[in-house]
Amino acid sequence: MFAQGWMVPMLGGVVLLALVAVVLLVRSWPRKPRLSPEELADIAETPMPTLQKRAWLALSIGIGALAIITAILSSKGATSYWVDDDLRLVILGIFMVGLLGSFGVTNLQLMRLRGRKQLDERDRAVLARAPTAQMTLVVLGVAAWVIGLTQHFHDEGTVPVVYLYLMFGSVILLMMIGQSLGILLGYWFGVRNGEG
Amino acid sequence: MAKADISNTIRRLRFDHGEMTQQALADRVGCSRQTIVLLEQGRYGPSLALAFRIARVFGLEVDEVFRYEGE
Repeated sequence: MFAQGWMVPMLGGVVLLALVAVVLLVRSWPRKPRLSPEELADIAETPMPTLQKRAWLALSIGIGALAIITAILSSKGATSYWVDDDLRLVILGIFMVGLLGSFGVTNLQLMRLRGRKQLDERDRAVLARAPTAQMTLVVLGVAAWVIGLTQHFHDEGTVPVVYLYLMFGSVILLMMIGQSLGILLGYWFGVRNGEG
Repeated sequence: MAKADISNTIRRLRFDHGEMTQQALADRVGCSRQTIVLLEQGRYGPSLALAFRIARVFGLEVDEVFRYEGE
């Protein structure tokens, strides 16, 4: 896989730097006192806000679509998307279901919730922070594609055009998944660690 | 921060006002029940607008419901 010897230490260095960054990030995180059993019970009994429920649903739809497409392409081969018209239609169908389903249960619902004034200030704060997770996931997705394709097609020197479509599609789905993930992480951190 | 710097007496005030439920208070001030739970646990510092709305429900001034505990 690694076509040139210098790539191993280079990629190793990148991974090492990423690990150091994660360790520093975790160490710099403010220490939170644990919730008491009473407080945990109080939270467990509290119904999830509507936005949080929607984010769970959208996350399931997005991850489901991405997993099915990945499984199909892994078994049939990525280039089959290009040569097999039926398969392309199936994959596009799953992609659209994932995209529209995920978009529908979050963004369209958001408009409805805003219209009915069902978003409170915590919901709005969570929403405002969600794009951080979304952007991170998209950047990681693109980085994975670029590194993977570069390694795989290094000797050929060219990448088949079909991968551009697949990369684009996967990034769109990752964007939707990232939004839901950002919303859920926002609630999770807020409930566990407090805000204010 | 784990705990907000603002403490409050919402839980006691709810009980003093006919054992008002968290959901009832949430509906009256326009927030989720989860927000009320976090407020009562001192894990969420409300906006000024929400603090005023909560105080108004109990017929009190903001500083009779909320207290700043920071240095």
